[in-house]
Amino acid sequence: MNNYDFFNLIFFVLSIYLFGSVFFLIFFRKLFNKINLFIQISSFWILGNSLLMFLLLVLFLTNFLVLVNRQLILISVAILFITFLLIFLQKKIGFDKEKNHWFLLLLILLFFYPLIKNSISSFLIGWDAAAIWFLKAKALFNNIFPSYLKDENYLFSSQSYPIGVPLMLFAIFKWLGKINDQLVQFYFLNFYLNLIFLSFGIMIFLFKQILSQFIDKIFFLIITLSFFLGSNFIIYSHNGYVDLILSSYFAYLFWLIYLTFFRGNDFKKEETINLIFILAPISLNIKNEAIPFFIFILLTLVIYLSKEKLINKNFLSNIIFLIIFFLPFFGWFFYLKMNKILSFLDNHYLDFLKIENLRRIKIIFNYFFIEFLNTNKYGLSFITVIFALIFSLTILIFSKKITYKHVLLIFILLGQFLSYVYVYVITPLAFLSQLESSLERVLLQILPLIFILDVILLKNLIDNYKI
Amino acid sequence: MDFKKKNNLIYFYPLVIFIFLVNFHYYQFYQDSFEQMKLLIKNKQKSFGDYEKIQSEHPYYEIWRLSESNEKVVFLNESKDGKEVDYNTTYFKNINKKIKKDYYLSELKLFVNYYFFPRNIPKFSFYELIFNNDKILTRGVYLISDFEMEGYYKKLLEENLCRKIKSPEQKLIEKKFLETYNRLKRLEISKKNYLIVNRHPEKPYYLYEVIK
Repeated sequence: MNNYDFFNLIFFVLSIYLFGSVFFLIFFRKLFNKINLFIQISSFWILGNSLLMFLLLVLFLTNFLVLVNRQLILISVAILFITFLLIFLQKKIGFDKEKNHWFLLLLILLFFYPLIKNSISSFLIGWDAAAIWFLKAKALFNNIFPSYLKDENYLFSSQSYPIGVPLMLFAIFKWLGKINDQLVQFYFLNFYLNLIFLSFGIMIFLFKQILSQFIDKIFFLIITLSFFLGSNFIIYSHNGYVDLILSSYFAYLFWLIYLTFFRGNDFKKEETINLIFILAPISLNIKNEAIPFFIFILLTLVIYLSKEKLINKNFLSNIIFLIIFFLPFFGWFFYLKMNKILSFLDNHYLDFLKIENLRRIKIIFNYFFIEFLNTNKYGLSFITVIFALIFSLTILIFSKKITYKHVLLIFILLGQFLSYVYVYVITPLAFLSQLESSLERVLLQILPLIFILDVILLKNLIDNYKI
Repeated sequence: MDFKKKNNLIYFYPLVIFIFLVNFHYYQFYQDSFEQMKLLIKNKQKSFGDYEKIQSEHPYYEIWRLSESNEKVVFLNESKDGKEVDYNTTYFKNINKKIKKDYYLSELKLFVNYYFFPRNIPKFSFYELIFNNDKILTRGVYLISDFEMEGYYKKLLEENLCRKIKSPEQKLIEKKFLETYNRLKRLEISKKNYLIVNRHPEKPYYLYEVIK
């Protein structure tokens, strides 16, 4: 690997963390002070990506993308760095003071060293990665995106798919000064690593009271690693597919919903809701599967707030975040309409009313069960988390300890799963081929949610154990 | 068992360690995979850049090499009508046309499109190519093909040895094919040693240079 390019890439990736950290420390200070190191790092990463993606989308839609170059990136990073230093010098930053967390962080990075090396020394071979995401990034880099959209030779590249990730790749290529589809896989890997940080962070955050010694944290780390070491997670961790990126957003948003619903007294609700209003609309620019998730998140939030009688002037003023960060997706939608770019699902949304389409449901569930038992892809993770979910839910339901907030969390997960079933039912593509080639990927998007829901329910179970 | 009392978690250690070891088994593939790539890179030509050292293990390395040059390239894309759909083929919906029709894309075509982008490589069927070979295949042009000319040539030889009776149309095809074939030189495609975990092997593809 070329050291110069590699260090350039590391610089860019670290800048994303820096971008996220500056804004997180300014606008979400109270939240920051109450979460552990692992959740802090994943918060920086997710927020940094979201803000950069937002800026790039605005530049794209206003036709100012040509402004992105090395100088602009360097100046922006310098400003961010100075701001970070100023915040740091105020000495009010509540960085995690538990030294063993830093040690565990190092341990995780060492554990994944082979995978990190693998991500920077492997070629791009994934179909969707090359045909959709990297091709779009190439079109952006070569400044020929409008002509690419109209070119019938590239109809296969799903031109209507969102361009959030291709824009991020474009920015990296601009920074590197060339297209490098090998090194950039390290950027993808960061989402996978942060998904692990987040899940582990949530575990030690929720089970704080039963962690009596350091070895218990190692125990929770082993549980987290066991879940995320399934070969499917490893394969999609850096092969250029965006499903694990979406999965990171889903997991983080799910966690924020949990904080809002269950920890509203410890955490400032306004901060968690604002963060949801930033991240949820940005996730729409990653992949279309984010659309149902976005709807379910908003729906559950509205139900919760109206039930708790929290919809007031303050809340309504927060909606401004939602509107601002929703605008790029709205803009992209109109950009597609103006260029007459159709989605393959257009004109098929009511096809679930056809008997022949409804017959697919049985096949879809058959495939789902085959997937569920596929230990080659998921190890024992899938089976274990589903069993744990059924187990904890059963106890909570029969002991009447389940609340409407739990039901709302389950509703998000179930709704997202059913949205996949719906797409398979109405798809005009070769149904079985699409099911076979994409089921493992869409399940990756929601598997971490099942894991986090498990953790939340088990925590509830432990709290209510002496029923 | 009271979870709030100190260290009852110990009862779960063996179970969790067992699950971890089962899953770790898969992760080890990747540790080995990196080691394998490291060894392969070590033995690559010194003239190669770092990118090319890794890329030279890519199943479509030769296509990438061609895309990096300014040579004129054409693509003989025979398996495109959906008859040869298999694991090596993906599908897309032709949504911009008035007549909606699924169409198929082989992995080779996908990578030809990706590597050469934004250059558009002319694509021809077998018959289009042989009947217009004088116009399409000028000297120095490179031909990427998913159709093995040698196999077809051997088949014709066998048919002729057996004195198979051919229609005038078949004779014309044979004549045009031989005319084309004699102008081509087969280029070697290097053997790839890197094992990719969990992936179907790619279909073979062929490269020719027009020498006459």
